[in-house]
Amino acid sequence: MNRLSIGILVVLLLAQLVSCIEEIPFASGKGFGTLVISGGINNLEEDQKVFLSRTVENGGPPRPEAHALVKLVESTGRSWDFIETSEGQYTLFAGTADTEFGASYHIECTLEGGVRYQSLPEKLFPAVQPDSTGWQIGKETTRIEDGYSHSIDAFQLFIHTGFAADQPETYLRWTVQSAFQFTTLPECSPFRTTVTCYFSELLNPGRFYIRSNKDQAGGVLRNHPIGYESMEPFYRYSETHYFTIYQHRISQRAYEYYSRLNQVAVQNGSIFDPIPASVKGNVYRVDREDEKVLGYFQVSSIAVVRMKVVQADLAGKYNLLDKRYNLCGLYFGYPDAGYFEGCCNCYSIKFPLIDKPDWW
Amino acid sequence: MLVVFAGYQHFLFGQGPVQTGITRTFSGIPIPEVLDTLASGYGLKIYYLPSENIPRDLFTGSFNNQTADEAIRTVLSKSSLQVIAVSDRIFFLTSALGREGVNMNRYLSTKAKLENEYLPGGLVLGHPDSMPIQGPARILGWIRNSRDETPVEGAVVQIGDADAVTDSAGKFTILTLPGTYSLRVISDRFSEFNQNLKVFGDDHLELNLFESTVDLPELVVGANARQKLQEATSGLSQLSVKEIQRLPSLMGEADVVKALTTLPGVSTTGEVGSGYHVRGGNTDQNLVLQDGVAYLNTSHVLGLFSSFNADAINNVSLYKGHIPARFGGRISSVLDIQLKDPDMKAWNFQGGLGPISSKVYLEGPVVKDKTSMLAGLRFSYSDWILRWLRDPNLKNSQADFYDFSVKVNHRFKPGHVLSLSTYASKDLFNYADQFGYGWQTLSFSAQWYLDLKPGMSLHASAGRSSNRNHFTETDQDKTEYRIGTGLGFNNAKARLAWQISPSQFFQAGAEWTGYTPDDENYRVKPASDAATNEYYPKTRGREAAAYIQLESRISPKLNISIGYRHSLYWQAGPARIRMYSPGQPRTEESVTGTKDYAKGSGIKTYQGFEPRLSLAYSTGPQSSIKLSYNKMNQYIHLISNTAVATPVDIWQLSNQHIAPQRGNNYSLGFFKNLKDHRWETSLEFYFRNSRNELEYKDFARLLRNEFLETEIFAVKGRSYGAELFIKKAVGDFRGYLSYTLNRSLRKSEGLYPDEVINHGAFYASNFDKPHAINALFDWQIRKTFSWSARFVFNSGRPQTAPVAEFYLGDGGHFFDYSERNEFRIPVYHRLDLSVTVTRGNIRTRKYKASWTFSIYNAYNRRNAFSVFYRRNVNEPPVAYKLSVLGAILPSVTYNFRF
Repeated sequence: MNRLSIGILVVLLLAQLVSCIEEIPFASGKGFGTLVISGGINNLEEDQKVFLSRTVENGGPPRPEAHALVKLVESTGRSWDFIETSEGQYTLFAGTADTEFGASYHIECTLEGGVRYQSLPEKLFPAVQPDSTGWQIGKETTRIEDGYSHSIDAFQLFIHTGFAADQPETYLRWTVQSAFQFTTLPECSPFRTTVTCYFSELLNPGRFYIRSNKDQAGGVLRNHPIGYESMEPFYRYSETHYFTIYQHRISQRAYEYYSRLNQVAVQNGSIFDPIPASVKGNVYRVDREDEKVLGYFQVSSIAVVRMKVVQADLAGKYNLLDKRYNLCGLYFGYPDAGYFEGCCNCYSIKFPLIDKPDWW
Repeated sequence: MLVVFAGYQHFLFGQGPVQTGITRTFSGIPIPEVLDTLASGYGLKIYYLPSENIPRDLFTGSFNNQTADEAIRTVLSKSSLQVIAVSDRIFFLTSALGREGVNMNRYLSTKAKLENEYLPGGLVLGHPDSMPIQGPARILGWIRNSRDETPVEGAVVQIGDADAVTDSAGKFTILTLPGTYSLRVISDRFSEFNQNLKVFGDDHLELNLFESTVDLPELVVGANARQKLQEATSGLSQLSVKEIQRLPSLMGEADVVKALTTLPGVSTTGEVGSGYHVRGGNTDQNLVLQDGVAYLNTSHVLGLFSSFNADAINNVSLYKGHIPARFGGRISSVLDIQLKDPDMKAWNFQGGLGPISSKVYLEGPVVKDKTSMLAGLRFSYSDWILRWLRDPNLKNSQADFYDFSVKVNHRFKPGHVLSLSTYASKDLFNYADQFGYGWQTLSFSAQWYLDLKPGMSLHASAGRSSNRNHFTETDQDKTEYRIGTGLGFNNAKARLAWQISPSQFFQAGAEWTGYTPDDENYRVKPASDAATNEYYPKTRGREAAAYIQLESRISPKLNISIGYRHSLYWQAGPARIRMYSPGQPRTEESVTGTKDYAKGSGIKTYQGFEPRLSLAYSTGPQSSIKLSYNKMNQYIHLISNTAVATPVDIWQLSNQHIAPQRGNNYSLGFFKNLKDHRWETSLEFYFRNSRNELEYKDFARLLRNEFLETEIFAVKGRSYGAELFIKKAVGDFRGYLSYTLNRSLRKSEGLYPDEVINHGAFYASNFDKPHAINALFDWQIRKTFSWSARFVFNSGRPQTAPVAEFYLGDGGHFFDYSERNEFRIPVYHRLDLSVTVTRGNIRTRKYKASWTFSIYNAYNRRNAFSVFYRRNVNEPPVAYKLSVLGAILPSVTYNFRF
């Protein structure tokens, strides 16, 4: 429950009457170069990553911080080194660290010049398993165009989770990885062979889906939204589609950090907008704590559930184009304009391509 | 017969025939009786002060055709009394000769002349026996409309060279020496009244004026300007309903708060938002009174309209410089709104029809000349606009407001009035069963006025006000969440006003307020289950104050107003108070324990010493300098961590951890009128330093938080500026132009990182607008046709803006923000126009009507209410400005009265 939604109402109402939203030029000319440390570790048997970068001018390209030494430190004194796998990206490969529930972890980063930063220790709690998932197709306000908020048809995901009775304060965060397959048409090949591509992306980057049982009546979270995906382009749903839902159990500090990032990310200029500010994370410079450092090193335990959606599931709920005659048919009718190239070459589809997952 | 008037006594034996010589023998008769015998026997008048000691010695002696003067001197030959012969039959006895004696001689001569002067058709004020020996007589009067006996405000009353202007109650006071004069009463709506007048002494004068087609505004305005120039109240702005109604309006609705913002030093943060700012003060630092009852919320529709019905208002006074001692509890300003006194003679009905709201107003006698009432109602019907919208959610939304005022006056006799009034207002907005908000005010008050004697009156009142707000949200599974807060208070006060002498006016009073906050209620109501409620107790407190104030004309050039108010506040139980570890910031982690207090028990006491001083020195017939100083204390705070205050913010009382706001206000003004007061100019400087203003930690959690002290901290405030004002108040073409330089700064002095803003340097408050220009022009082209224009310009308000961008590992882009209020939104300027047309000569018609055509934002400026920043996926971030009223807004209003 927050006032932002009320603010949106005011904006919407007034926009419908006499108000207007328009783009204006803005350049602050300052604030670049602040260190940002983000990433985290979890209980899953997968690579753990930490990212070091600097703030950039609004809209500017990323500015990674390379050649740093990054170390994961356990409260018992054990430690493991991250490897710089690309500029500014540091990886602790799966199986390197045998983290344990109940222990606390933090990172220590030493930059090329010798300046040291570290995060506040956070405890790794056992994961909370979700009860079930759900979905519907609805409207989501996603962007501002020509000064007005625009809604899209979206595949909306929900979670049902019971908070443990013996855990008075539990903080959860959800991330969702969307994956779909797309198979080329046999007509494209003289041998009528087909190729199946697999794509995957993280849903809703920049928006944090979080909830605490402090804000939840009854101890059971029902129909809690955890992400959405646009129904367009239609080919995403023409075949099998998976949503892998990660339910993170995070610390209270991390919960507040994400909550604050949400607040400053969803400013809409209304009367109810809280005053924004820099969001401080849990990383600090060891020899000068008042230096501004951004980002957060998250220690979390994750429970994973996967949801499969096929085109038939959408029947009666959303009218998708028929792949062969509507979506790809354009290709045959109008070869020089407006066709969808992916029907014959799925590698041309502008989504992150992955290998076929083991669980598919 | 012994008669005592105005502190003097004399023997009045002069009813007998006047005889040329005294022939009489007295033998062992007390001197007073001898004098009595002479006076009664020979038509003499013998005066003396009560303090004079007339000896009671026995007198023995004879008079043989002697003059009265010789006889009296003989009788008093052994006493120290001196005998002054005013005439051959009027005598004054005094123990001191010299100046007093000379004055008395003049006095008695004047009195005798007056007594004998024939004045055809003239009025006589005072009795010859009440004639003051020294100084002027005090004429206290009321001017009323002959049609309905309603008070006539702003009428100029002239008695000889002395003049005065009637106040909102139609009351005036004139001091003039006894004599024969012409009485003249001038008002812009009434026929001029002329009458010969003989003034002996203090008296009351009640006159009824007849409505006229002759306008005499220039004289009226001139007198007003002269009075303003001399009074020792700097920074006082007064608006009549007529002035408010002349302003171009939004949606045709005459608006008190928007009218205030045309005055120098008064601003708002934008078209929407609750409240207003005065001389760099926050919205909660303004005391708003309507008929003596304090109001916490002044707006409808998030500030688009004010919640006061202009039809029911008599006048509006804004104290932004010198604040008289009878006001307290806020450190920035006082807005004193007086409702009309309802018509005692006849019923009147008036109303207005607008596109989204309408209003009706009626007033009249319940018992003629005894009891009268008024009732005003405004209500919205904006739902029909929502039904037109395409958005299905908005189509199913609801937006309503209303306000309702009732006042009943009962006059026991002139100068003895009981007044009962109530006010209710409510705003409600629901968005398609998804979320909504609302707020409401309900108040009652009883006021009792009593003139104890000429020059002395008592005003007592008691009232109750309740203010509540809430907002709701409904989840996907139809679970409803609701947070409601509120603050009520009971208030009683009494004030004694005493015109001690023509040059001295004294007031004393006391006030008590008991605050009764509603605990913050958080309710969760699942669709299928029973609702669960959580309550977060709010601070309870009581406030008392006593004050005295003296206004004095020390010399013809120097007026002074000096006062002292002492306030006392104590936090009362029940309460649970947290204790925090010393030397650590107040956080959840530093709590060392709690202490519970029982209901009614005292927890923490604060007191405030509040001296008030204002001086006005006339530097010439049309110029003066004014200086003022106030110390103020404030025990109630608006908790709002948004750039603009909203009607659903929380009111919080001072407690053990939240100290009262304290402010020192200084002002210095130079006032110069030109061309016989037709033009008014002024330049005022002001400065205020304050402490314990509330500031918020970044991302403060203000709701569902019983212990707000963990989220807020105290900062210093500093405001300063200058106001330049030029006004032409006379003629068909009137208007004013003002420029305000205003800075409103804050400074955190916290010891802990979370309590330091902008590294501890001064920073701009959310409402710091350094430059403001207001211009208003009003041209009465014909009696039935006028147009007006208003232009406003001000600096953009401060804003915390994103200065850089960063990337988190999972792909999100986020803004890094600047220091607090480091940037500003674009400047604001706007032009409004209006034309008012009346049909025929409205003064001769019983049914009076007018059409007002207004254009708000005439040149279609898209002023920024706010600037915000967004980043669409895979696109660079963009700054957007939101213009709340970003279009030309024409409106037509039909006003009628019968």
